[in-house]
Amino acid sequence: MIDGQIIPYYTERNGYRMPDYHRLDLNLHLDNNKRGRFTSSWDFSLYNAYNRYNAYSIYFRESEEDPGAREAVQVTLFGIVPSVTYNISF
Amino acid sequence: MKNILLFLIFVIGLFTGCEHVVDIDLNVASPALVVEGRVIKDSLAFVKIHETSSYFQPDTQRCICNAQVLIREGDNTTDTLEQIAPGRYRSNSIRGTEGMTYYLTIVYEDESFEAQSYLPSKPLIYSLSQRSFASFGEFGDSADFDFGGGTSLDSLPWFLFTNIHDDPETEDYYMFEYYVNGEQKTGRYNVSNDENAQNDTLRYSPGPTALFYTGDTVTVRTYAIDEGLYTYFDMLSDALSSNSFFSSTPYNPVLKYQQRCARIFCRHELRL
Repeated sequence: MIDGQIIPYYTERNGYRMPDYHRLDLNLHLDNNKRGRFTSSWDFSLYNAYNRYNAYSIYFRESEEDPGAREAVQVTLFGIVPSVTYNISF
Repeated sequence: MKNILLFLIFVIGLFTGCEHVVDIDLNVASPALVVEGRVIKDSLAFVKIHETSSYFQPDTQRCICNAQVLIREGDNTTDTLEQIAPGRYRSNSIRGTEGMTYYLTIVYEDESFEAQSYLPSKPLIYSLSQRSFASFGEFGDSADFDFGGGTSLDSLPWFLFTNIHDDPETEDYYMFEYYVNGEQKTGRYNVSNDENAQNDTLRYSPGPTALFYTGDTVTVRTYAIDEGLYTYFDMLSDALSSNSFFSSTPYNPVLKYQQRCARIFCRHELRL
């Protein structure tokens, strides 16, 4: 800290790794019966099925609860994302 | 309809990114020495020494109380600074003099640290001027008012400009500090070289760092600094903005004319 301003002092480049990233994607594909020249199907999907908060980025800021202290904040983009798709082929 | 609304809120909540505080296990590095040395014209030389601290607890920095601190003025006097408070050392005889180079030596735990800096001539402030925040749109330069100029845009902030004398024959470097209603505006270091000077005038603005409103009291301090200090603060400002979108990757500023010290500088102060 110099003149009341926190100045980071970096010890090494690429010295840290982001937390592990993993997720489970599920998909259920159902083919419907063929009707004439049309075939159709359903897809039911779950992206990140167990809703893990994977780190997109981590940044640092002054703590809101303890002013003067620093804290690391992880940004997460997507939790669980369900989707439904109906496909038609002809 | 209500169910659709609830569903939309649910979907938006799912797709929106979130933030939460996490524990990061940073490597514990050996503390490094941080030195702040000040030589200001007609003031006794002053040095503050402490160590780098834990990133998550910056208030825990340890002062260095048993260092030997020496300052030499040009080829003349050398003075051993006296500790006046924990980690704070002051000379009893060396005061800043224009045109002199100062050499700092610190001996601490059988290691020696050295730095040097030059005290330039006193800067001269010609004037201060202001420009309406709104003038950057349709009004153009016509809204570049002097202090006291009436405007119907009182509710908008003003940009401040400091107009100082610059010698076209020499390479000069400056640092500016801004206070609005007695509170120093921090967040970046305002330094400038004279590349953008026109004739004998350098016009400098801190930009949005020191916006002010009608009725505010603004104090400006201008310092003449040497090239090494300018380079250091310029890089430091860049490094401190490393969280912004257009910033560079984080790095430690490099010191010129210094060896293993964090910072020492001479500066010549002028208040307006």
